[in-house]
Amino acid sequence: MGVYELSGAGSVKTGRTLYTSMNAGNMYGAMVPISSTTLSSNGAIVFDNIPQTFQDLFIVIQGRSTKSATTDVLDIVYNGDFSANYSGTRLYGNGTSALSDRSTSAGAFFADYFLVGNSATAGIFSSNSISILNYANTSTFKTTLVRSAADQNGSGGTSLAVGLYRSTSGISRISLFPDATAAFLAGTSITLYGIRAVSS
Amino acid sequence: MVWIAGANGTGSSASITLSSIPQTFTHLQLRGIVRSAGVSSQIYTRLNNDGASNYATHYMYGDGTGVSAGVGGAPTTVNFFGSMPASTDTANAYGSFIIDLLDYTNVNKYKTTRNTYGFDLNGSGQVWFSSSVWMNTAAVTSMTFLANTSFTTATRVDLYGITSSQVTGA
Repeated sequence: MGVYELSGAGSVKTGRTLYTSMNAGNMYGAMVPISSTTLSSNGAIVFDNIPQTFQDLFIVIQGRSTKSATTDVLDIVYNGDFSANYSGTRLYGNGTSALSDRSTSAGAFFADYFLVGNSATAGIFSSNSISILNYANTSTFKTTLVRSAADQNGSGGTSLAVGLYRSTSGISRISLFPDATAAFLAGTSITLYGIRAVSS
Repeated sequence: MVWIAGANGTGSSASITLSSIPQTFTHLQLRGIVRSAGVSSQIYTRLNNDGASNYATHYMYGDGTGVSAGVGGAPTTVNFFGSMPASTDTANAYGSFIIDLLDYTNVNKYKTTRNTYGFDLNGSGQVWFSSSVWMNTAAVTSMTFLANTSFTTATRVDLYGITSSQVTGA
């Protein structure tokens, strides 16, 4: 099991696609790909040295866990901070009910409880989109919106979760990993985008 | 997607308006963070500064313990999409939203907004899906965010245009 460290600066790390534009200054579209990879072996994912020049960050994951279960949990940690600074509220449906739950003072943001585990039918991956608004603001705590979906032909769920990271630091590092001792399964794909707020 | 404009709260005003929206895009997306500088407050939007009873809203939200669904008035004078953190809540905590407004220049359709919104306060919080129809066929040229009390200065709203044409980037 490895860690795919996708750095916005410095030397090339395993398994990343480094786009020629790593800052907000030289593309006209507002949504700029920063880094992307498809895991060639099982592992966790870390985006490091994230430029502080965008307005928002947006992450798209199609993921599956190595856990021997049909579902797992997608965790997010910012800036390598594993202290109890995370909380979240979730709205979800599981095919029979609409429900809501929360986490408080946790060491990670539990962004999705429907991450597909490795006991699920082969070939099924979860779909997650993660919006981290005003991530570089140094006067506000960071609020993250996560839209998740996974259907397993008879089970599964879809959710919208909001997470609070109680820190005013700009986010320069994002770690994503399944719960417990599991990892993302090879074939998991992920892309980090920056969303610009400049007009040229 | 192309950035069009952005604005911050002033700390003393209960409205933020993005005006003179170009009519050259296919869709619009609004993204931002919000907090009230006063006590508990709800957040609303209006299109083209229309304060008449031309809006109807429906929503579903979770508060960590249960799920509710309902309507925010039919019709009413605003598009309602949630409550936001206020001065009595956890310091520095903000709600985040993403609003999609499709086909905003079409003069033959009423306009529908799709709202995704949430905030968390480490022990309380809400997360919302909602949608509102503006029963007017006019092209949208401005959008106003309203609160019961003023927005903080760190409140931020950004407007993006989504084009059918190619641009450099994604």
